[in-house]
Amino acid sequence: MNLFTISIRNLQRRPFRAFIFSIVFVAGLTAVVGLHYVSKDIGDSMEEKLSRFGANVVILPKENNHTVSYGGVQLGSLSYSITYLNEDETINAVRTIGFKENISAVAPKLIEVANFNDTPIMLVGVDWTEELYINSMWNLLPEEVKPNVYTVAGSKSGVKEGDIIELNGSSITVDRVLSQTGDDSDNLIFTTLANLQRITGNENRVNFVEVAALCAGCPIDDIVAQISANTDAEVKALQSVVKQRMYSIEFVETLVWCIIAIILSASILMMALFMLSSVNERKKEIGIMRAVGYSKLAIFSAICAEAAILLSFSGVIGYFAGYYAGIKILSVMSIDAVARSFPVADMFATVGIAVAIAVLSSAFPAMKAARLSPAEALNRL
Amino acid sequence: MSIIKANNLTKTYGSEGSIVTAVNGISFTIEEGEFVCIVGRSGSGKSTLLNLLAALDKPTSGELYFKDLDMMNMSEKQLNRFRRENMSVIFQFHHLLPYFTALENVLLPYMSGIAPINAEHRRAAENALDRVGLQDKKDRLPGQLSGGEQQRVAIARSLCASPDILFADEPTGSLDRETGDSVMSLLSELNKQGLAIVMVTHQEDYTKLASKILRMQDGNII
Repeated sequence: MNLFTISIRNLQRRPFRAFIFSIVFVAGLTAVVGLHYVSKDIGDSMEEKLSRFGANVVILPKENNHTVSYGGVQLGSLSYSITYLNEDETINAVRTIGFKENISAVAPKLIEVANFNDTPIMLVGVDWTEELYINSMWNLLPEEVKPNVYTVAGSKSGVKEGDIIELNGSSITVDRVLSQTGDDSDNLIFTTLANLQRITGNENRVNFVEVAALCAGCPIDDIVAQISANTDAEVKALQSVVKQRMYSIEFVETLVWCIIAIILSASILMMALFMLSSVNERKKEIGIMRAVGYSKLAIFSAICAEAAILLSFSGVIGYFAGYYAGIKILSVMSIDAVARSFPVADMFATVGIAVAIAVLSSAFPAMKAARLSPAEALNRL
Repeated sequence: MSIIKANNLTKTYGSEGSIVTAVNGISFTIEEGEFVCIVGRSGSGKSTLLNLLAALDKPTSGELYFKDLDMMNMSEKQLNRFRRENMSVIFQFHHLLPYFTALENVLLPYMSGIAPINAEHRRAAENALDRVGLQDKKDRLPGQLSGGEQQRVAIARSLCASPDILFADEPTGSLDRETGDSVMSLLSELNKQGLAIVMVTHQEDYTKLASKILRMQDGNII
C-alpha cells in the first residue's frame, strides 16, 4: 500500500461513475484512433489512385547540348548526340532506393520516328505492365494487351485500327485506337518496348523513364536524391504534379486532425470537470490527509494518479477499439486497409499521450486540492 | 519542560475593513504530559486556537514553539513532517476514509509516499488498534463500526506515530453520553501513560480530567 492505493480505492469506491467516464473516454479515443488510421489509409489509397494519372518523377540522360549564341543573338540549343539510358541499370537504380516501398511504377520509354503514309509519326515503346499503371486514362485493361507485341494509336494520330506502320523495314500493325485523353498521348503511337528496341537495334536502351512515387510517407525531394545517388542520369521531380496530389491528401488529413483536436479538447474539458467534482466531494478526505502530514505534492500526485490510472485503462481499450473500427470502416468504404501488424509501439505511445492528457487536465483540480490548508478543508464540513 | 509555548498568538480573518480576530494575542505554555482543556462558547476561538497549535493553520502574528522548534518559521515541508512525526489530531466527526478498513485508516499517515508500507508500520498500526481495544475489528470498514469505534480508530491513527502531543477537537461531540465517556476514559488512560493532550470541548463534565483549563471568550483567555 502506498499513495496510489488511495487513488485506486477512490476509483473503486465510485465504480459506476468511473465506468461511465471510462466509456466516454474509450469512445473518444476510439474515434481519434479510428479516424487517424482511416485518414492515413484513405490518404495512401488516394495517392495510389492519383499515381495512376501520371508520373511525378522523370529520369533523363544527362544533356549533351549547348546553348548557341552569336553577336548577342540566341540561336537555341544545339544537341550533338542522342543519348540513351541503360534500361536495366536505370530501373534497378529506382527499385533499390531506401524509399523503394514508395515506388509504385517505373515506366521506361524509347521514342523513334516511324513512317505512315509517307508522313513521319512518333512511335513510343513502352513496358505495358508499368505503363498501364500510370496511364489508367487510356481505359486499357492489362489482359487486353497481347503478350508479345501490342500497338495502340492516339485518337488524333490519324491512324486506324489495322493500319500498318513502317519502321526500318519492319511492319507494325495497330491493334487499337485509344479514346481521347486530351494530352500528348492523343498524337502518339505506343508499342511494346522490347519490340521497338529490337527493330531499332537499341536493345536495353531507353530515352527516359517515368516514375510514379507515393509521397505521403516521405518528401519527393528525398526520393529524387536517393535515385540520383544510384544513377548518373538526370532525375527531376514534376513538382506541380506532386503538389497537386499532396494537396488532396493533406486536405483529408487536415480535416481529420481538426476533428481529432475537437474530440481531444472535449475530453480534456470532461476530465477536468470530472476531477474537479471529485476534488470538491473529497475536501474532507484531503483535509484528513493534510492533517496527518501529507504534502501538497502528495495530494497533487494522488489526484493526478487517479486520472492517469483511469485513462491508461481507457487508453488501451480505446486504442484496440479504434484500430479495429478503422479497419471495419475502411472495409465498409471498400478501401483496402494497409497491411500492417498491430502497432504495439503506437499503442503505448497513444496510451502515454492519453495519460499525459489526463495529468494535464487534472492538474488544475489537483492544484486546487493541494492548495487547501488542512484547517480550511476540515472546516468546510 | 514545556512542550508548547505560545506568546502573543494572534489569528485574524478577512481583509482590511472587515477583519475578524479569532485569537487575540494569547500567551500560555503546555507542559509535557499535561491534559489541557480549552472551553468556551461557540465562536469564542477555541477551535481556531487548536488548529494553530496543531499546525493545521498559520498564526497571523505572535510566537509559537514546540519544545525548542520555532513553528512560525517552519517551511511547508517541515510542517508536513512535523505533523506526521510529532503531533496528532482527532476531530469531532472521526474523519476516516470510508474505503479503507480500520487498519488501513490507521496506516494512512504511512501511505503519503511511493514507498509501500512495511511490516514495522503494520505492527505499529496493529499495536495502536490494540491500545484502543479494536484489534478484532481491524478489517472492518468505517461504515461497519459504531460512532465510538470510529472515534477509537481515529485515536489509534493518531497514536500510531507515537506523538508527543494529541490534539482533540470536540472528540465526543457527535457521540452519545455512554460512548463519549468511554472515549474520554481512553484519552485519560493515554494521558496517564504520558501523552500530552489538548482538547477542545463544550462539555464541562470532561474538564475535571484536565490538569489545566483554558477558558476562551472573544478570542481571549479569561
